[in-house]
Amino acid sequence: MSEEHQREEQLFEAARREIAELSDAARESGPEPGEDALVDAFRERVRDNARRGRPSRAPLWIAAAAMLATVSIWAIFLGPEPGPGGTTLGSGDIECLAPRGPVESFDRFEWRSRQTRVRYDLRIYDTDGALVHEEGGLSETTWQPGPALELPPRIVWEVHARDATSAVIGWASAESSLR
Amino acid sequence: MRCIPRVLALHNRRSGSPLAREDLEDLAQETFSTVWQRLDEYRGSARLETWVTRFCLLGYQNVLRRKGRRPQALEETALPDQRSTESHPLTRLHAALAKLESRAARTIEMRALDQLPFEEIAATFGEPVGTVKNRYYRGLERLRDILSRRGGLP
Repeated sequence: MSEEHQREEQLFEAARREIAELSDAARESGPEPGEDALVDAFRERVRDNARRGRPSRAPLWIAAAAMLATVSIWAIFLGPEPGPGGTTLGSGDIECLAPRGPVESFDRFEWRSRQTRVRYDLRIYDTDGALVHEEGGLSETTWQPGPALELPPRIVWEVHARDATSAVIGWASAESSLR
Repeated sequence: MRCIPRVLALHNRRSGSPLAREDLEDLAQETFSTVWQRLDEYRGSARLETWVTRFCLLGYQNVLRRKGRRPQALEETALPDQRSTESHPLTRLHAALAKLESRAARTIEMRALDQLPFEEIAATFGEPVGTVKNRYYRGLERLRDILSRRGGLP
């Protein structure tokens, strides 16, 4: 193992130790104030998710999930634009539209989002995962690179949606290359 | 799932209690949600509590960042036996991973922190093992650059 890899592995090992130590200490500690309320809230959320047909390993929920998927597809592609109340958290709320796959140019980045009242961060990477360009705080679902921006012939790009507190509430990613 | 509020409270105390109780309650709810969404990634290689602890710490760091808390401010209020969050190896690692493309970061987390075999990571992403290995090693190179620039390696 090279010296560089050793240093990296030391950091990973330290991080793993930190996680394990904290996990053990928490296991040995007593209940925290309000813990029961939080666990109850979590159970309620699980019940909510089940009612909304969130995918689950439970066989009975599969049918509900399939029905929800059908309704969702209809809502996305055929139905009216959903309001904020109809959205769910997670990467499924954003779809990268262009560029995707082989294209003539990277002249326009476009995505579709079911989230409202959010800002978007756009990140463009090369195929080695190096960040090439970043645009933060976008309010529209399109972005056009300026003429001075040079992008590699193959890119991976991501969009992160952030709410008013800057928390990431959804993301999507796509790959594209110049023909 | 009771470990989530306990881990958050314990970590907060050790960090000099920069977050108020209501912040911790909100964060616990967020962490519940994150764990729920990513439960398919749990492969049983570590105890569930250990796996969940990682999300607690990541969420904690994100809240501190959102609140604009600086490590220096934490150090001023921390007791001598308390560590600022900046000194945590995982904090440095998360900060560096945040600069990587999401799939590369997740691959490194699953391999280096959860110590999952490449085959299981590939199954999670639904990709060939070679693709995942490629992304992992390229991601490590990028991570090394980032950590070196930040002075993050020990």
